[in-house]
Amino acid sequence: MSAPKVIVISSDDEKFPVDPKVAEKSLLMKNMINDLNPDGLQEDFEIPTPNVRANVLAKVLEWCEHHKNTIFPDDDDDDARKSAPVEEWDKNFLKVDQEMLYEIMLAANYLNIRPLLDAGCKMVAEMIKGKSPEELRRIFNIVNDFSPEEEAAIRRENEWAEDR
Amino acid sequence: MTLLLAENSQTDHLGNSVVALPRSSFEQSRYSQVSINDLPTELLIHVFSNLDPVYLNTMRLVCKRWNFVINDRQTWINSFNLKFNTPVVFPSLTNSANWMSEYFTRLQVIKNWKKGTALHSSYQLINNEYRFNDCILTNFSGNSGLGRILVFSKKYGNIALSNLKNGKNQSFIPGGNPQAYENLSFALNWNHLLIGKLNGEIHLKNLLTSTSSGSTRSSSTVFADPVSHDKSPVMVVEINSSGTDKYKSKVDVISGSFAGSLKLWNMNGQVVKLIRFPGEIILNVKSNFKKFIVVTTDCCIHIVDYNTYDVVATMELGFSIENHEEPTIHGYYDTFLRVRNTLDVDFGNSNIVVCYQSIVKVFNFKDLNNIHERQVVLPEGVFVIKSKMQTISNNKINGTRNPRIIGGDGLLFANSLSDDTVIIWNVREDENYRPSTITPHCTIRLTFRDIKYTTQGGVFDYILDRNLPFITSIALNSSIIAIGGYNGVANAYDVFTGKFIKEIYVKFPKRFNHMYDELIPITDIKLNDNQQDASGVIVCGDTMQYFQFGETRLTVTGASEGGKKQKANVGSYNKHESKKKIKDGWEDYDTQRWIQKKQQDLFDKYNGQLDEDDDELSLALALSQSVHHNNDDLKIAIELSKQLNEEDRQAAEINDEEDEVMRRVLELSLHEH
Repeated sequence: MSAPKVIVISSDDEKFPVDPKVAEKSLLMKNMINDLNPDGLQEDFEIPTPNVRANVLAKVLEWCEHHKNTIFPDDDDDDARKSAPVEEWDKNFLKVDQEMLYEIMLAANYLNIRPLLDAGCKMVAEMIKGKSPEELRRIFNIVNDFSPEEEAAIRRENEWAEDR
Repeated sequence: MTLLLAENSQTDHLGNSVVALPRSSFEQSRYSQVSINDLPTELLIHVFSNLDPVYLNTMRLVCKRWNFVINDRQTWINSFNLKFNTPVVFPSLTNSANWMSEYFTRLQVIKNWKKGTALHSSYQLINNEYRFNDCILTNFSGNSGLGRILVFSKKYGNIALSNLKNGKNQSFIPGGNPQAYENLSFALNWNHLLIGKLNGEIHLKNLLTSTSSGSTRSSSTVFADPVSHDKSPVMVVEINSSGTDKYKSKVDVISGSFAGSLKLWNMNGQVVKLIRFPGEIILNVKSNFKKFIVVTTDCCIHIVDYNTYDVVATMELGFSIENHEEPTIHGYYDTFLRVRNTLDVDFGNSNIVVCYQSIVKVFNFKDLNNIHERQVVLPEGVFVIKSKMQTISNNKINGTRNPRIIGGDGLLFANSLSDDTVIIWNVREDENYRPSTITPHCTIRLTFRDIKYTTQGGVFDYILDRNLPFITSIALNSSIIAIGGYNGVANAYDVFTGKFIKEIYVKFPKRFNHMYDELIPITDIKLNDNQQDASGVIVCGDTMQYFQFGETRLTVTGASEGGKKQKANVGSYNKHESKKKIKDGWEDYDTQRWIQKKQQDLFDKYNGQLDEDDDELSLALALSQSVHHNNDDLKIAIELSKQLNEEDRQAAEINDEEDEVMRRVLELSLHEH
């Protein structure tokens, strides 16, 4: 018999059998596996992820598969985490449309995969860097919901910074 | 967009609208159905935290949600952490409530430390006891911008006084006491020296009327207590450092004895109050002479109300100070003082810091009925060598903490440890979060290469052979920590990242030959208490080195005025003296001119080419003007800075008065000589 698998089930009921090592990149799944199988995994184990759609889950698991042997800096080691640039592979991996990117971030947040969430946040931050408010609204498809007075008030506060 | 959502989307379990779209390129994505604003606030904060603070202000204009998220304190805390590695609580450089103002100032100050034009002056104090200096007072801004330094040596009771920045106008006040070994404890402010003696006497010396004639004529007053007849050794004395009461009625002097009696004196030498702690040995006393007196004995901490003289709290230290020597031997009491714990009190936020062997503890007595205790756990076998609270203005320590200031008005503390590391941590904690341990936010580990010695070869071996610590002294402010070794060698490190910034010393000129012949540990490093100035003084025995990087708040006009005054006054002296005076005056004036020129060069340099850093600088300059803008954030900032300026101004006035008196007295004494 082959080694038992973890079967991750998406919100639309698609099943993804993966190696336990891959699933354990998610702290949520890792805790679930360990809590419900105190003697180690004897047989296939199903984990439903009712918040994550199949195509997003596929992406997330692809990431976990790629990083199954990567050792990430400790969660408490904030310094190492925040200063590390996004890895080249992750960068390419996250070159998806914005919607997918946000869904991956939401899924990573839900499944508690810190390195993936960090990479996603850094990618979005990268997109924001150095843009004007108009550009940002265009890029992120945001409607300006300030009244002219409110906008003027904030502009006044910022004036000195924008003067330069 | 809302309409589109209503038609094609479904809502998932997170409450986010999701629409299955084919993967599209980045360009197309601007029409995607799920907007960045569908991310929950904590994720948006996480995203924005990855951005340099300089971008955040523009981003506020995008939409109400972004404005809301960016106004969240956490976004700024994270963004600052990303840029400067600052923890949640940290000391502010600006004392304002404006994050951008803090941001630009911090960039500027770090830039000064890193790249500012260096200015060093080395000098040796005359007549003072070589190497044996126990107390150093510094004032960086007074004395027409030249600053003052006062060095006291307990062993002989001598005092040397000089201009801080150039070592000129030195004067010497002798202890005048052949039995100086009877001096047990001392306290100093700029006007008075207080000495506690083995025989229970307290001597007060007025420095303004002491002469440099070197005679044994004693100008000290003896404080004697006619009531209690306590003849036990005075282990500790404390004097009001911010000036004594001119009516001599308030408590300005505190003394603690071996027999456990704490006496509160006024300047007339009368005991206002006697408090007994029977069976305890008083070893430390600190007071802000406003609200509280903190006393540590060989086993306990007592807090005394300054106004009512009641003991309002007592707690156990958790260790006891022991002395295994025979009480009969010479130096028994000194040993107590040598092995005792350190005591630093942050009156602004009611924190008591004690360090003893391998223990560092903080007691917060904000709520006197519920004293909160924190401590650091050092690795096995490691003990504390030096402990230092950050250099900061007296207003800050003695005033009240203002949590609205950026960084929550933090206060740093550093310990150098026996394993050649330095830990830096926060005395003031986040008020919502009260841990029971102290967690250093930065640890600097010094290695062999970090400290280079200017002395001849073999010094390293000497230090290693004798197992001497690499680190002999530390000093820190809100941006850097200076770590000193031997023979004037000292480096600056970033106080939040621990990264090496620069060597803050230069080699001593060859005429200071003792710096090349012997191994002399640095006695102390004093940093400018103005957090935005990159300057300080390295004290190595009787030899000083003043250092300064980039521009400082030096008032050049004031300095030249000082020069003129000196010239105007010389008429009454004999010819030789006046010639010397004029020469000194001109030398000072030249120094000033040189500093001025250096500063001008610096400005020219900055105004020249602009690289990225210089853009930031120009923003910073713009910022300083912008403080006059009218809006809420800035209003608070202005209010705060006004208060501070007012306090600064008052303090400056007092200093000027003192300076004037001191200067006259010194002139007189020289004359007499």
